Amino acid sequence: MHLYNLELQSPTAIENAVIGHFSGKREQELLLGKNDRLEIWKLDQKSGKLACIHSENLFGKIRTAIPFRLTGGTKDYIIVSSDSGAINILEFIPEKRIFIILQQEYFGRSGFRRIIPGQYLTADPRGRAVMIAAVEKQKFVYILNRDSEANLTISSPLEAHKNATICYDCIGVDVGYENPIFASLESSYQEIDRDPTGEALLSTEKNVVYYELDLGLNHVVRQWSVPGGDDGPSGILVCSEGFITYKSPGQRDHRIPIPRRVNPLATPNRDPIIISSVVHRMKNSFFILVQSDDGDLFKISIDYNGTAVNNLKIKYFDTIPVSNSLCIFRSGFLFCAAESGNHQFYQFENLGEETDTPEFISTDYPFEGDYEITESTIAEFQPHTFSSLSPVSEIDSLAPSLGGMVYNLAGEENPQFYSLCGQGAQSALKVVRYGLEVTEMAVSELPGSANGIWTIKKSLSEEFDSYIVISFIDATLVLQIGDEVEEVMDSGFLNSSPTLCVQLMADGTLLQICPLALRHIFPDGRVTEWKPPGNREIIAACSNSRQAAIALNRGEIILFELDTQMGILSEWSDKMSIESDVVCMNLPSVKEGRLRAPILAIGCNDQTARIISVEPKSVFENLSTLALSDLPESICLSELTESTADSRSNSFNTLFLFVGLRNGLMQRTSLDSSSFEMTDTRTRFLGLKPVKLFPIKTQNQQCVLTISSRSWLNHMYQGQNKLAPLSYDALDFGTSFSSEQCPEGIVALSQNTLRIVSIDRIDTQINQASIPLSYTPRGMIMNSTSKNFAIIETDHGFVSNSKWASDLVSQGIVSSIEEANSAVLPSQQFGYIRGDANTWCSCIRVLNPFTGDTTQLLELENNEAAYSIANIQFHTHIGVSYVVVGTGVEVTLRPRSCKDAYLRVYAWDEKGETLSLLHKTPVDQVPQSLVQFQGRLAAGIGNSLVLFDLGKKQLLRKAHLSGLPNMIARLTVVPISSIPNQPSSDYNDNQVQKSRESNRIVIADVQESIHYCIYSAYSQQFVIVCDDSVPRYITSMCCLDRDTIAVADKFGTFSILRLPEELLLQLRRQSTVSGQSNAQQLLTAIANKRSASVTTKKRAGGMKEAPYKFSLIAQYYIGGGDIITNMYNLPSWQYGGGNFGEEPNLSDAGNRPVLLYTTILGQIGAMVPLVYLQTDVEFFTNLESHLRSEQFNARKFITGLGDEHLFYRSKVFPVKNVIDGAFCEKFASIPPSDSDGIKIREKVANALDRSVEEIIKKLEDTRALNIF
Amino acid sequence: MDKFGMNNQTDHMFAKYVGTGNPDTTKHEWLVNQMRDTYAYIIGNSSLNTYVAISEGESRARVKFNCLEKMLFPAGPPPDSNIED
Repeated sequence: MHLYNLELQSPTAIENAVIGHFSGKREQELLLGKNDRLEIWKLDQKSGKLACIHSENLFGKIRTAIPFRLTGGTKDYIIVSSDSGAINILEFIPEKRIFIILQQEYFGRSGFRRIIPGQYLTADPRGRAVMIAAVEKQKFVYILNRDSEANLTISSPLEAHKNATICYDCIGVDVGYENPIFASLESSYQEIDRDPTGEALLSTEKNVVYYELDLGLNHVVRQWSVPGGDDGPSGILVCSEGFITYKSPGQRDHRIPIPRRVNPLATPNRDPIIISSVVHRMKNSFFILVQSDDGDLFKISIDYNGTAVNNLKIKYFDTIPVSNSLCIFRSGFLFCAAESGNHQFYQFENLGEETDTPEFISTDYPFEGDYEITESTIAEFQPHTFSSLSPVSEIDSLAPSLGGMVYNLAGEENPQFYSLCGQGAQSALKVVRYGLEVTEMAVSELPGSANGIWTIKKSLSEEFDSYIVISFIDATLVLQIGDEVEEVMDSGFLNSSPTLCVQLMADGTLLQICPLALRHIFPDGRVTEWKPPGNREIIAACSNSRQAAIALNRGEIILFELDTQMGILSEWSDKMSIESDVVCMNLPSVKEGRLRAPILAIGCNDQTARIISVEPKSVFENLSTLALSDLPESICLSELTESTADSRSNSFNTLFLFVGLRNGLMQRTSLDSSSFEMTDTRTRFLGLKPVKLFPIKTQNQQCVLTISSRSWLNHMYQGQNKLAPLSYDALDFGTSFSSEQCPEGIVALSQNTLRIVSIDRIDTQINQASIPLSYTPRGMIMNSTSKNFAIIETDHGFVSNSKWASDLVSQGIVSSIEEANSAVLPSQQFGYIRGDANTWCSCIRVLNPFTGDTTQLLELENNEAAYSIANIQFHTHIGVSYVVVGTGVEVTLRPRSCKDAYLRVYAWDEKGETLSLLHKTPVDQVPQSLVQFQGRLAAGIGNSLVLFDLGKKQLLRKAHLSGLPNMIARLTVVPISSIPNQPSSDYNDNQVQKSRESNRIVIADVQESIHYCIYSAYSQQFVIVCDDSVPRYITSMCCLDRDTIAVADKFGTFSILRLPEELLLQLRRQSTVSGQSNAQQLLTAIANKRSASVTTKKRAGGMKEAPYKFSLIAQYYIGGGDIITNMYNLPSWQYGGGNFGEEPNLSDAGNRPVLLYTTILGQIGAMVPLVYLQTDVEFFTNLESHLRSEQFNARKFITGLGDEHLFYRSKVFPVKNVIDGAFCEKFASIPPSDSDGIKIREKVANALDRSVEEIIKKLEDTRALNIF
Repeated sequence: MDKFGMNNQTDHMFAKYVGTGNPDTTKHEWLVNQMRDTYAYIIGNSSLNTYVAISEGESRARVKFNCLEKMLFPAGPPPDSNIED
């Protein structure tokens, strides 16, 4: 079996965000490092929105990315450190929208190793050198310069190693144009490792070490010295636990405490630390914003004279989500790359001078010696809601995504992801849908159902649309767009007849085509009419700014052209008559500087689409014909453009012919620019209704809105043609709309309502709605009748708001609970109050996913925390569904232990809206995984698996298996085989109810991979028949069929394991045996077979290794170390999702099964099995291997951060039978405008013996057919 | 003992690649290297860092900081070599 891995949503966690001038222009741009992707975003100053300019998968982990500008340069290069053992210098080419690797210097081995540099990367602020450092020992300094052709050059590395030294951080010191200095925070463990008494630890100090790069002598010296520059006092700020120190060589230190929130119940042993910071330089001053790990921002200002620092001041600024990076735009915006949840974008209202929170000054605190926090020296503040920042917008993020389910709950075309995301107070349940996000601006009722809509400007000078023209069956409604949209009668348009087409002509006149007239309306109100001959009617019409074409019934086409000198619309003497009726027609827009469009497209009811010339010298010549599979409904000739940053490379855009058919298919064909021949036809099924096409403009791009039973947008993105559905109600008609409030919207008709909507982002085909939760979500289940979710949420180290308030009262700090409650800060912004290591807060929530309302919230008390949840229907209580929640009380994480642990059993009420506690059963350890098995509850408790029945007062133990290696992390019940001629192995069940239940369960250990276990109801025993030879730290697993299991581990490897053939044979034989005791005997015989492995290692509890080992089917490194947290097996994506509780039926021929996964960094991916044709496998394997061999020739287009692709996908375990779709799709994204790009495309295509278009079509089809 | 200058070369390699084992590596040395390598991996790999941060309820920066602190003294003091002899 081969799998094809597709990226549906690239990682959304931003680990690095920096600001620079990457395009080399004046505007500042934001560079985001997202796991293996590098993105450049720009800021729209007017709307305060961020938009993605370019996003590229670099096939390497981006650990740190920094901007770098050579002295005197205007463009920032990007330096990226990766886990490949190389330093990469990239340049962004805005015209071609690619990243080019300028320099790639290897210095060490690959991987996240402790002595291979890559963890820290910092540049000299004056652009002369860069330091790359490891966590331990190694540091390299590279000198960067330019050669005579102004190309960037890199020196050989200068070593600055120091043995047995841990590096905490390093930074380039701004010293002006003196020799570059890098400062690093280090401490040495040399003494500690030798000292058996452990006293050396106490005497070990952390040092600030300065490394001076002597540019003259070309070597790096480890030393302390050298003065400052000219913009500021120079020096560094060292952020420690609890305080910040200013240090500069030869200067006195200055020290200020990090203020902490006023909390009368504070735990004094926890000091705040600084987690991110940003320096903002203004014309004559600068300030520093730092963020503590509670999310509080502080502003640090330095008072100095020349190079002498007088004091440091720190003041509370505002509170924003805990960030990975902070960036300040010169135009007064702050970007916060949040650790969890959506990334935030703020505008500065002021610089915090107005607020009256206390300011702390370094002169009040000792500058050396121990800093002790006492009543008098503690720096405290009371947080306030936003006073200096105001939120502007946010970027959606799924990271960290921890679990969830995929299910078509809303009954839409495709299933939705219900994803549990976020951490702490930022937690949310995100409903992720496939489709472009649509913002609804207005909805209004219409008198009847309309059959056409247009927007039109009154005159050429108008910036925005003036009228909305709506055609009804016997009338036309004209609405004027102003502050309000209202009906007008004096527009000049005929109201008493339906309309086929309206147009603003190039000379400022208006054109309205009705079935019985073509009306040319002059600005002064005069109207000239052309009427068709008697008994004939106009059935189709189209126009552009200079031409109009109409089709009369019984196959006649008449053409009009604007005579600008005369100011009239003149009819061409030539008419075209064709045998069949014209159904639809379209003229492309007139190119600038041209008199007319050269062609006309018509769709006829003989199931053809034709391109007809309308040039005077070859008028009505049939240029090309496309045979269709059904009657055409709509036809459209349009270019698709992409808004490039500045270069207007529109001349490269090809013209496309779109044909929408009655049967719901859409065909897209590219037309040759001179001969208008059709090439490269793509067909897509869009929905159940006839397809209508409307050229529109959105995001400053020419797109085509395609409406069937679902609306789609056909647009270009990064040089590729994309078709994405709109996540919105079904529409009937649509057109562009532009007004002052909404410059680029769509006005559409849906049944008898008028809707004004806009599409904000086209760079992602996924949109998400968010339902906030209280704490970090740990698991969810769904009630099958009410479709309500029950979600468990647990956070470690925090005190819940209610407990904190009651503690305040009980300790006598406040007098009443009301007062205490009012002291609680809103957690959404400020988070929860930290407690000590034994505190836990946790709740069980019942949530209605349709409304987002919480119907019930059960807060667990006394540090009890929920870890696992399952829906169970006990076989003794048929038809009643219970919810079992596994909890632990006062759990300590290291070493793993707890005071008590329980299994709580809840019963749903009749409506499925609330849970009521039935009883709780104490167990030995925290139950980490629960599942329904054999009509009972199977619980993974520590290293044993226990089977419970429901009793009156508590759960009753029925069977158990102990001695698994470490701890059971996941349990999955194996689905019963759906292949009819293979009898399922329920050999020992007489009851009908039970016989439908599988007797096989897969147990995933937290460190030792999975164990395949068969339960024998006869002897009430679990027998492990198969386990894995590789220790995998399982984070998620999913059964593909009875014998095949997909697993994902903590180090980013995805694998598919299958029972070995020999065991399958044995099990088949065993399942056909009659009689329970015989079957039991055979099972025991299988289990007792000697293990195949060389070492029969004994496991804890005397359990032996299993006799059989899984065979490996496929293996793949997911990229950048990302961890798969959840996998779902869908029988089919289209209309799919199946019904809840139904096992996915993989053998159904029409279905295209797909395996979906979500990762901790917010990536959504899909594994598509290539099971239909062996040629598919061959094709993709060859394409991948040819691209791999081109990887280093074509560095410009197929970048890698130093690792070869094959090596990258084999980082932990070697890749097997999985094809990297993202890598294959690189082929399609090589820009054809580049001569090298064309060469590489041709070369690969030749090697595959196919044309370039064929390959791109295959890539698109594979996506479209299986997923999206 | 060292006829071919082998030890010199291997010594150099050992010095270059911290944490490489040899027949004389004690259990404690092995453990210390093992743990330092693990902590360095957790610091370096942002996904694993996030994973730990979520389970501990801490911020990622705090997890990084804690790991760095633990790298100094990961497995207790070394056994007293004098007593062993």
